Amino acid sequence: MGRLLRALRHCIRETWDGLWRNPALSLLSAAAIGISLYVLGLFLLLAFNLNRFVEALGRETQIQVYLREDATPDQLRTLRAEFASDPAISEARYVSKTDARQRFQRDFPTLRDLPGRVGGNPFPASFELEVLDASRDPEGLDRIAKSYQKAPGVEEVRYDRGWTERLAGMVGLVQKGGYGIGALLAFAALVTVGATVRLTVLARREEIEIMKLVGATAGFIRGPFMLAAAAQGLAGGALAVAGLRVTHRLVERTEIFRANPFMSIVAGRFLPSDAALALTAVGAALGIVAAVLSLRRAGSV
Amino acid sequence: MIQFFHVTKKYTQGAVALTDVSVHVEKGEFVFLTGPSGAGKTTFLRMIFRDEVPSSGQVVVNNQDVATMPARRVPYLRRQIGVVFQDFKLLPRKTVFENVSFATQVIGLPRREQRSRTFQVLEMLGLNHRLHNFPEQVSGGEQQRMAIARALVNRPLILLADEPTGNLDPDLAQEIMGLFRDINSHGTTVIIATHDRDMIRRMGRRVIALDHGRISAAGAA
Repeated sequence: MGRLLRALRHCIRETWDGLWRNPALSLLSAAAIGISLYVLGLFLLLAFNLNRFVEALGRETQIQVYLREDATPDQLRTLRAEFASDPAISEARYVSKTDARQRFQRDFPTLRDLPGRVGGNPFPASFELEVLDASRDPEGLDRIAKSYQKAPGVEEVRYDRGWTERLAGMVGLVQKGGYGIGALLAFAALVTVGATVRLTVLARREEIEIMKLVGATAGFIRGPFMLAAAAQGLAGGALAVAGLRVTHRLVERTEIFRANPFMSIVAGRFLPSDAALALTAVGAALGIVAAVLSLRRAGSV
Repeated sequence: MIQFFHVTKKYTQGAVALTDVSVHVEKGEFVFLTGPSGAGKTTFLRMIFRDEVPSSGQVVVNNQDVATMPARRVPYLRRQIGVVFQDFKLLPRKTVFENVSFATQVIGLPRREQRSRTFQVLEMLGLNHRLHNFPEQVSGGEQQRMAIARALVNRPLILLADEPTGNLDPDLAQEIMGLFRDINSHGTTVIIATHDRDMIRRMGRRVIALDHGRISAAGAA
């Protein structure tokens, strides 16, 4: 135990010395990781906000079941009972022909005379179905729509499927793009950090050679390099999160942001704290991976 | 303690360093390894602490087959062996004290033990007035003694020295040899590679002579 603690203490001391022996290189490593995570973070921020919007939109998604002109009270009762027993439906509201016309006249005041001019009331009666969260995905909505399409008294079933799907597709695209560019930049960061580790190893090769000859274990020699890379990665990740925070604040304060509701859809909120923490952790992991690969390539360490 | 069984070492470029070398060194022995430059002395020593592995044959050190030993065991083999290199291999940015205590730190000795052993060995080698000097501030003989101190500080079972008196004046060389004799008298197996025939004659110990990678003569001088 004492030996392990001593090795750990040595490792931490060596890491600290190593980081300050060449601060420019340490900074370069941290910056490389920081930049890649910053860009990845921007995409995540965008995807996170769009996702929130899609979810909110999804909550408003309703299914309209339009009724035939000749639907009988019995058929309405049967439908009502079926909706009540369907586990995917939380609420079914009946909208009569009169209600429908009034709603139209309220929503489109300039066209309020239109129903009178086309003769009578052209709006069909309908049921508006509120769908439970679990069934609000495109497949769930589709299933519900299909199951009532052929029911007696039903003219047509409609819902805003296209719009929801397109948005969900867009969010997926933003996310994928973010991961793609993030992976590319992470690779560049790996190469940079790996190169700085190799430079450090090269600068200390005499010392490392002697350490090996007097019986230092590989872990004892490699530990400080890995810890240093992890620290640089952690610093890079923290820098990226701080940078994202500052960027987000600055964007929030711009005139364009306040005047344009679209901006609050794409950047209304900052990343949740667990995502920010994960980004920092990814930084540390990147550092360690770069060091491991680089030390393995150096072989003799 | 050290056994070579039909050891041959060929390098990839085709050069042959050792050919069919079989030799035993007993525990507590003091042996000279001699021969002209390029005879294979350094390769022979490096095989003992597994800086080289044989192309064929077997090297056994303290009952361990060195060539087939897994890499993670190598550090523990090396802790049993002190090596004095021809070029000393001192760290220029560390003081005399740090260069020696470095070896104790690497094997994870408690700090107090590191200090006491380092002081002890530096005193034994007459370097206690040089603790805070850097290698470039001390003489060649003192650098040589630093290298010996580092090899001894972990109390090895085996001490290997490659031309340890090569660049020292005869008096100093004699003094260093006396030191090796003292170390050997405490039970440490000592192997010294040298081509200083006068020295070998004066010491009167067993000699393993190499020539073009083969054993040309073995026995007491």
